[in-house]
Amino acid sequence: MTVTRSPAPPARPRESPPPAIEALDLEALGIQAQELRHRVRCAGREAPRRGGGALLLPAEELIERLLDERLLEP
Amino acid sequence: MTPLRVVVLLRGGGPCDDAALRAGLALGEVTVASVTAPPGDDEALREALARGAGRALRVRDASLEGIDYHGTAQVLAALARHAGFDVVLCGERSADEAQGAVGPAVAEALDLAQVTAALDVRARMAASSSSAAMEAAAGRCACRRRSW
Repeated sequence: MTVTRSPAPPARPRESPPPAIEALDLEALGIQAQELRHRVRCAGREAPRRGGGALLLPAEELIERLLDERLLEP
Repeated sequence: MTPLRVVVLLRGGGPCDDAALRAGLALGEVTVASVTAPPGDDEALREALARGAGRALRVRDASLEGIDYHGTAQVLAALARHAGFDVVLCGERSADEAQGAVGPAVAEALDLAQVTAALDVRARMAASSSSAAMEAAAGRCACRRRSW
């Protein structure tokens, strides 16, 4: 398979200021906040990783991370 | 020919978001979207608008604090549906969390085929039919066919 990188798109000149950011709430998307409540107790919670999620970590840090994710029994 | 409607899901900035936006702008009309817990910031969305995205959507809600990737993907998928799309792109991984799980979870939530760890995305209109086939070889993306 040949993979080529597309050229950077040219900057698009704007005749008017950029549009405003549209803020939506969960209900507008048909999602009830309570549907997400249990998600804070699930594995795979989103949290910043030291080193940007590098795969190679000191063993202690890896164990700490797995415990935090509840992927390892204390 | 109607331009492709591309939704680019931004995950806080970084090189992967940048790559997804770059690919999206080359494909068609871009809507960028993000979800965060407060306080969050809109810098990545503003930058995307300045670079040529036509629309920016965001959800900022306290109930997103500390949720797992699946919950995040659920909200991002709902944003994509709200915007309307032909293709959804997202960076391979966020700069800080780097799990690389959200993209596939969004594709699952949207019930779409996906291509992962791709380097580039091209759209090519089929010469002999009224449908367009997506040639996907880049950015983490979810694709579906559309009629022109």
